[in-house]
Amino acid sequence: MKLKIEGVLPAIVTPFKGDGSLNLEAFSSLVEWLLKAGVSGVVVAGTTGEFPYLSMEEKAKLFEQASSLLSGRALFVAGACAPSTREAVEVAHLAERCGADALLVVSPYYFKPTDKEVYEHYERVVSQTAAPVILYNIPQLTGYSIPWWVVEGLAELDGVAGIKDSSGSIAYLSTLYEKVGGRLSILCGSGEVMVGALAAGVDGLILAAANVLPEELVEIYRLFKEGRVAEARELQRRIQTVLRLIGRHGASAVKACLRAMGFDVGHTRLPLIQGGSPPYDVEMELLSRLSKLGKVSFKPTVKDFTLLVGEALTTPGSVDLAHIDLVAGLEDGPVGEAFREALREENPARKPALVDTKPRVAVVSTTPLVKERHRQLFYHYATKGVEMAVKEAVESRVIPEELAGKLVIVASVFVHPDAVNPRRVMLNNYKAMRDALLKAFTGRPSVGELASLGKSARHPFRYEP
Amino acid sequence: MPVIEGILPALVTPFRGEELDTEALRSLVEHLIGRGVSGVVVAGTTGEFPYLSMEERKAALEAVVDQVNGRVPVVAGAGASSTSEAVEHARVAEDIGADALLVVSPYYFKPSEKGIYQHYLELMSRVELPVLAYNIPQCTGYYIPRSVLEDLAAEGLSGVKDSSGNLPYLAEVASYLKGKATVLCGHDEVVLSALVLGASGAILASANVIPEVWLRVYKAFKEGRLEEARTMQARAQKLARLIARHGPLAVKAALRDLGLPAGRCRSPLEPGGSLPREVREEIRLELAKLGAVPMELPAEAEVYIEVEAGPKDSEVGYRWARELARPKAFREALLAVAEPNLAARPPTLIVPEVDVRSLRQASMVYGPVQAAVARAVIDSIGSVIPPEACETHVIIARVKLSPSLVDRGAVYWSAYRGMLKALKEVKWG
Repeated sequence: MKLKIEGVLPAIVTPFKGDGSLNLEAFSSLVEWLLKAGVSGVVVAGTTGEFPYLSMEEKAKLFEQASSLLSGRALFVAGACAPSTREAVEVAHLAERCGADALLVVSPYYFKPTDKEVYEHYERVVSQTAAPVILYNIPQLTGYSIPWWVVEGLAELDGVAGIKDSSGSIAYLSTLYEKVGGRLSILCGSGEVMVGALAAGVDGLILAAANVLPEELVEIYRLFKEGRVAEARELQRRIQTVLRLIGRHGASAVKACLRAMGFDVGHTRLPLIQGGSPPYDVEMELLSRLSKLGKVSFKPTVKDFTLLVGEALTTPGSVDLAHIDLVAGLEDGPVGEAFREALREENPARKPALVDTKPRVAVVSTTPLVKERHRQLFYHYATKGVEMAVKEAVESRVIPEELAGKLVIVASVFVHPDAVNPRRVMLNNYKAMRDALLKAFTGRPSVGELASLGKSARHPFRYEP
Repeated sequence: MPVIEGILPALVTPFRGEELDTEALRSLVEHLIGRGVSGVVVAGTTGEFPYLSMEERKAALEAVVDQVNGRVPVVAGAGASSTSEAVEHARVAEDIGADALLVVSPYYFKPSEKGIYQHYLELMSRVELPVLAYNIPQCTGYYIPRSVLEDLAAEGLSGVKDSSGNLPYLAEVASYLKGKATVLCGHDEVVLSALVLGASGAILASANVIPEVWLRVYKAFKEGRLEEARTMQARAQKLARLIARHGPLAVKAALRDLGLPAGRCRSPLEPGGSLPREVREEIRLELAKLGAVPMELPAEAEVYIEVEAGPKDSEVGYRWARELARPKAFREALLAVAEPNLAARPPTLIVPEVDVRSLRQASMVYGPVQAAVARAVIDSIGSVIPPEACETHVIIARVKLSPSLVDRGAVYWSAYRGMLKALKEVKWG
């Protein structure tokens, strides 16, 4: 009987301390939290665990720790991922010594192997270890997709227990179900398609997003298994943005979420860098989604409300991008005077929009508003987005309630003269305003952040086209 | 049969409003023949062929054949998604008197190798004219396999136009077709390299605009003056890149600048944001650098910066907030950011002291200057700026720069040095 792998297994991140070394304490508390949420196992040193950046010694420490935490409580799957067969076998032996229940073995990468080479890679790993092997297809990183007939052939080997596919292709999963369903555990590695994948016949889910939303994912799995498909689908819909953004940006996105949730997981190793993937605006979007799900809360940290500055860019939709420079402050200070000054503008191409929320906002256009469409997009849609963000910031207490009536805001908003898509303009401005407010009231980016991130900054308009 | 070699513009198709403008097409052809082009191509990609009806393609070709009147070869685009339609175009072109056919590999469906081979074979059997197969994977989604071209050459294919810009592919095709069929380069950015690898000429979108540059590259190469050819190619490189990236939109914008109006592209290429106005201004600037349109170009990129800094509730704080709240026309203030979403601290406002009138100029400020000023502020924290001032103070940077600066790299470094210097002169108290 082959090992059956089911349920939800987080592909756990590898926490690092500030000096870059392993943080086993943070690792342990994350594992405990995940177990409490009902996960059926944990995958250690997988893609989300940044396996290519870990030394053999570090993997040994992680595996030992994982084994002692998980033993008898949940399945311990160890990543035995390497570009060469030799190294994959070495990691597999290590994992086996540490007591791993199964091994996750990625298809060889960097060199693009032939099907024959892939078959032999797995055949050799399997023949040299006793632990069951899960084949691992992740073409977006390896540049190669394991053909179904290779999987079908490998399924004949006793040591092969399953296959994890992270491509997100339901067509591929369906083919696997047709060819090896019931003989291998089929595991979906793409959160975005999870309910679809369950419907296509997968047995379990190994997900990066399960670090962040384990309870929700376990619940979706349970609902589906009980035949309550519509409920499972609706629950997935609520968290779809988080699933999509984590699916696209991997370990860095997961760590950003976990940091905001209070786990001391640190940052990803270089060259995965903050502000790269996910870009800053996507990270903010992710955290804001988590805040709406009640996982994260933002508290204003500034003490002096004389003059606060926030800036944000949101880009989806190129010409429909939004950029906001804002200044917020007390009515009887420099910002109050600037606010009143803004409203004195009479030039029709420059007249600000007044948003009558608490605090009030003067929305100023950074470019003259001449064309009718441009005016429409600015006065109606961009301003609407700004208003949505201010209301939300007051509701979520990013703007302190007791000060809301005493503060005013001036938002300098850029709507591209070629912008076309009204809804995108509105949503981008909502997001830009939301992020700019959050930064203004939490004092971000901090001096510390500037010191560590300023040097790697790359301004998109700094270079010749 | 005329030989297709040298430099051939892939003509744009001029429109007046929605209508084909054969008069403008004739003037463009006349202008280009006057410049010495080796031939012209009608209804190619730059001619927006998929947007033209059979009647329009016919009318355009008739006008060009008539206008050229045998002075140079006329190549007719006979591209279509289906074989039967391509054959129809080819036969019409033959009747009108074209000298050769340019036939794009079938698109939308991605046919098998066999299907591609049969498409060309069928077409070649139905017309007498020489056929050029046309590889443009950016549009069709695939490359014509070299083996297919090799086999077609044995069946009488006259040549291949390769617009991929992929030099290993072009070299492979050229080496297998040598002595059997010609290779023409269709990618503006690699013209000289393609000639070196065995191309016998180029069919180019940018040859509508700067034919003389490409004719000089071609001539210099032919006469063995490689250094001169390389210098000319380098001079046109940025314009070539912009045109290769933005296609007929960019060519028509450039023709407007040159006073050879060809109207707009058809929808959905226009309207739409596919050619942002910043890019239009870049194109104009490149034309000026090549001497094709008059414009005053500054010699160097000096940026001058004056800085004032002070506590948030001081006069400086009041001015800071007012500058942001009440933008002056063409001198709109903006925050210094190392990159968007990474604003400098102390909050630094950039106020241009020279009118910024175009979006291109704006992109100089909202780009190199913005990043450089922010970087200088961040780099000065601790050494020049007391860390506690990051929370209590604001900075205003008044920036003077020539409105028609050309080199973003130079602007960046000049602004960075200027800002560092200006920050040192501030009294932080």
